[in-house]
Amino acid sequence: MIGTIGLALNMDIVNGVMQGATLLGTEIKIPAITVDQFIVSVQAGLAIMLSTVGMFLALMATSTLFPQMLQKGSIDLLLCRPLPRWRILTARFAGGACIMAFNAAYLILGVWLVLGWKSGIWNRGFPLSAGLLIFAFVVLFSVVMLGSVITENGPVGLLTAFALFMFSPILAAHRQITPVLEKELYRKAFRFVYWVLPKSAETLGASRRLIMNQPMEIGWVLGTSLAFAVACYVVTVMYFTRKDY
Amino acid sequence: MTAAFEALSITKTFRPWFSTKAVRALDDLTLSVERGSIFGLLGPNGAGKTTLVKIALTIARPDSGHVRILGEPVRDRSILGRVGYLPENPRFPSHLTARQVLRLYGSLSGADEAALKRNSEIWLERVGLQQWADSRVVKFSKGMNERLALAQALVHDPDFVFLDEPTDGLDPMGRMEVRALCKELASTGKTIFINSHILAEIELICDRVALMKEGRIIECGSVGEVTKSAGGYEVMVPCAEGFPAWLQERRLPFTTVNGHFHIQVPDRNAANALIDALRQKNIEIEGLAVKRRTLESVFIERVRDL
Repeated sequence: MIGTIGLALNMDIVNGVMQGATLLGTEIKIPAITVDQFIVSVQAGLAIMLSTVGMFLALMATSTLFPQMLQKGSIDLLLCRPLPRWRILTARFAGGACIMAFNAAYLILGVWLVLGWKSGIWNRGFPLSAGLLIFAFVVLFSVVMLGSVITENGPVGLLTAFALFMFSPILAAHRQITPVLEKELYRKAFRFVYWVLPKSAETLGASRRLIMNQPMEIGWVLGTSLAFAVACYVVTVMYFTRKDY
Repeated sequence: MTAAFEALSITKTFRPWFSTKAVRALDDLTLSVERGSIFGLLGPNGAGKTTLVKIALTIARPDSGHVRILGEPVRDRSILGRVGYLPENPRFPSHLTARQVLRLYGSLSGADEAALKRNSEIWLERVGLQQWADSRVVKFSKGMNERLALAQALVHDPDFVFLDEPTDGLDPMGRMEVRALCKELASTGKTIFINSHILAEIELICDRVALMKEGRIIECGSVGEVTKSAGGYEVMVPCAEGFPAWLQERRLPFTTVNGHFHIQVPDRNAANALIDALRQKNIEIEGLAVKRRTLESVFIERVRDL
């Protein structure tokens, strides 16, 4: 749909500066900016939309995968096969992650191609940002998996992931929050929580900086988030392989 | 030849979370099933039948004891490729077609692609779903779902098959087909292990049965043995004056049918003693019958007794 909108976008560019644009024949008022700035702004706007609304929808769409698998009559048909249980769980997780990765890559690459073809601006940061978006999804999806498998209840996994996602902007502001905490114990606890929990807001914020060619240092952010996802996966596999169904 | 199924001293206790009450589902259970036979496992709800099957399929784990299928321990799971399973209330991924369901579950059981392709068509036709092969299973009725579940249990050509309530949701014609299929499979050397509440079905097709209650086997044998041992004997004599009082003195139950007393005695010794007593009184014996009961009546009696 966004690709179609992109195809319906006509830009009036004079000496690299936007003079005007029409979308489906309707004129859009644009301040005097360069075409480069315009394209980057559109891509950053799309990235924000995918990071918020898109993330919520993706988690909702995939949250039923594990409860469906665990339903009586369904899990029996899987566990009675000569396959190790970890492979069954991993295949389910990989399947959900791949579906969302394909959708995100399809959308972002499609928009990138359409905008690049229309404007001649090929911002490499935009397609690369898909990787960060998919990474943030996979980390939260591991939480959905953990919650759903342990409680055998889809909404519990989904709400846990949503809670962590909503809490992540607070973690992202740790440099401002930590100094104002009264006691050293609170500051230590907050730092501990920061390093343990996934940093979705910072990961998705990094995707915007990548699009806008701004500097970023996210090695620790990605590393600790990945460690959290791996921990969720290991705990889920350990629980799933020992559980009687 | 080793048994097709051996459960040795299986004990399983369920301890729900946040509950101090433990439920012992299986209590030192030992059971053996011969190869090429149709075996029926009977028991009231909560007797532990499904738990036993789930332990055999590694869906649940025993606290102690172990299970062997076709001579191999189920712990290493590789034997499960030669086992088929029809669970109670099977559910398939709703986006798949009947043909895709058979291919998916067959491949998960380790069947090779060519054999699976051929077997899928054979079983779709056999269970009457050929014309629905490319329909999504979400559109299937309960009976069609049950037929498809039976096909997925057999599509990888297993040597041992667990059927949990195989006729549930089927019409009388479908039930008859399942019975015929079980007999056909057993005749080719496959072993069929059936869990069912429908005792008349079990009586019709099973070579051997076991009655379970509270996690233990309380009776095991051929259908004939189980029904005979519980049936006792019936001695028929012509009606005579004063005879009812004589029977009541000895506390022998009897009924009167067409001018004859039908006297029930519990076992062979009691029958011999009664015959001796009747002969001493010069009463003619019109007939003696081993009283067979239905599996259902035996089941109800045994389950109530313990």
